[in-house]
Amino acid sequence: MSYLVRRLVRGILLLAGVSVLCFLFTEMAPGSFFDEMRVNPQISPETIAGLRAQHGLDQPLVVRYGRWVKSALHADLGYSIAYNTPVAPLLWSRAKNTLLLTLTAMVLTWGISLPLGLWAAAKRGGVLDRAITVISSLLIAVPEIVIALALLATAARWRLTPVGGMVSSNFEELSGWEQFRDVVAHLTLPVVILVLCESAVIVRHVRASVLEVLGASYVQTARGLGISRGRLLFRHVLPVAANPAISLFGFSLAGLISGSMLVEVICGWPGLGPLVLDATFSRDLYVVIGGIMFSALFMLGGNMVADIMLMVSDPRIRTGAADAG
Amino acid sequence: MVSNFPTRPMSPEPESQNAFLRVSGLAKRYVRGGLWRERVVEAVRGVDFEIAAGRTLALVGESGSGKSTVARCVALLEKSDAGQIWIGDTDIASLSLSALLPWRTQVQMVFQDAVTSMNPRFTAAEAVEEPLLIMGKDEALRRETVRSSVNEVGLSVDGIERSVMQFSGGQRQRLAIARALTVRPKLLVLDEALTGLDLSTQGQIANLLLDLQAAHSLTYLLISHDPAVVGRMADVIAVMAGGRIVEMGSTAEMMTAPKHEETIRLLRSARAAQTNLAAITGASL
Repeated sequence: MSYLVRRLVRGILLLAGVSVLCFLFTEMAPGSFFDEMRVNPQISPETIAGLRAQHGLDQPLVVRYGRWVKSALHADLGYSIAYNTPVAPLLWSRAKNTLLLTLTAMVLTWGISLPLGLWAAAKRGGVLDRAITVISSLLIAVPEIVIALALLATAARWRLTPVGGMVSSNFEELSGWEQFRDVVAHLTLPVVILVLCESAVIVRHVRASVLEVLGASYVQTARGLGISRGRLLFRHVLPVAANPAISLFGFSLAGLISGSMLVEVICGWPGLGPLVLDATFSRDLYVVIGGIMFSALFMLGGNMVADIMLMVSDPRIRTGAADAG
Repeated sequence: MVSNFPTRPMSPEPESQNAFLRVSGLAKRYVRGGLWRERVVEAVRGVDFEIAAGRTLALVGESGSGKSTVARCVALLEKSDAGQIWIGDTDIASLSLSALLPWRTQVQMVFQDAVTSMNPRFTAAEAVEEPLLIMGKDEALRRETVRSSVNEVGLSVDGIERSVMQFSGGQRQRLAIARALTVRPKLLVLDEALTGLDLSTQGQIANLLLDLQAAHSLTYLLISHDPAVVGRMADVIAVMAGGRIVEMGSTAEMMTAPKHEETIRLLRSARAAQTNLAAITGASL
């Protein structure tokens, strides 16, 4: 239990660190939400100063940070100047869509990458292994934005999937089942982009982990005794190769969240990505900070899940024997 | 050329028909798959040797000479491309996978790397009993065999419920030997099993192996590049280069009057390494 508590405390400290850095960087960034008002002759400097004071932007950084922390403890995460509403409910309405996209992509990414990585390692040097090596190298080398734009163009040109948005304009008129199909159809393109980009890395990691275990002497010894393939896989290979894969699981969630921000903007998916991008351009600082904090929270959640999985799967972590030599 | 390395006392010459293992014309090649072109590596090209029951033959040679490939073929971890591996009257290289099963327990291998020689998820007891589990032996027999094997290699049974990660390199090597002994093998293939251990531990494991050989009439195929280890443990030495055996003879002959340039070169390098080590040790005192 102390292992999980330690990880939780570390996670909270990390979130605090991320919030401090967010405030420092936004302070260093040029411009503010009220800059455009300054060039409008109909708005007096006194009005702008009043608005700044109303949102507390005239206060020193430390005071603003203190107020934001207090607001975060009340689950508000500050106040959006552009939307004139507390940040947390605004972000949460979008975060649900991001979570739907990210979790779907995550399940599919691992559902595809794990068996492919295992198969490639088991048939090392074979046709499938070589094909996976070539395709994953290409996918890793080509920037995510190029893959996203290429697939978007293909989907639009051949009308393969709906392009843009999360639902069709007649969504409310559809039956329950048709509504579900409509969301799935809109989800397909962004999910395919995320799965392609992320699985290229994961397949290679899984393949490398499994190959390392297959080359270990205890696996050779077991093979020398004529152990069955299934038993070798489930008793020796998978449990040991699982550790690096589980650790990667936490990181892959972070990769998918950052990737989803870009994909959401390109595919017009109404998630955190477009909201945070707009907030960045308009200098709606608390929305930007809140968006980053949500992403950090998701990433920590993913890592926490990975830690729990590691604890369940590896008795050495439970007993602390992993560090013993 | 006279060697500085101590050699094993000569035992009576075995009769040829008493050979436990006969390897004849063994060949193995690997096809390395590049993306566009395949590369063929001839690892072993027609190797012949025999080991009498209860004796030790050492295969020596530099890295890439093919000695570990021979070991893996003999230990049935690799299928040879050509040649025969006779145990008694049976050519085990020609057997099907199912027909091979009863022979697998007769040959066991002990690897160099003590860290990767045990499943890191296992306790010592689980690691040692694994071969018996694979063979489907019942729990009472497994427990008894594990205890006797662990005792035999000089470890206490009190600590065998600890994770293998909590054992030292030398202790893990003893566990690896205990694991091999559980299936009562007749031939142990020791692939650099003493390499990477400190000198004191190396000496203890070598003594243990010699004691076990005497107690169980075990036959050893010893793979090593260390003339000191080979001189101490082997009855016969075969030197490999380029996938072939280039010289073979009794340990005393090979250490005192080597003929092939590869043997001379190996002994000279080993002697230079020993001299350097002595110089470093002397300087540090």
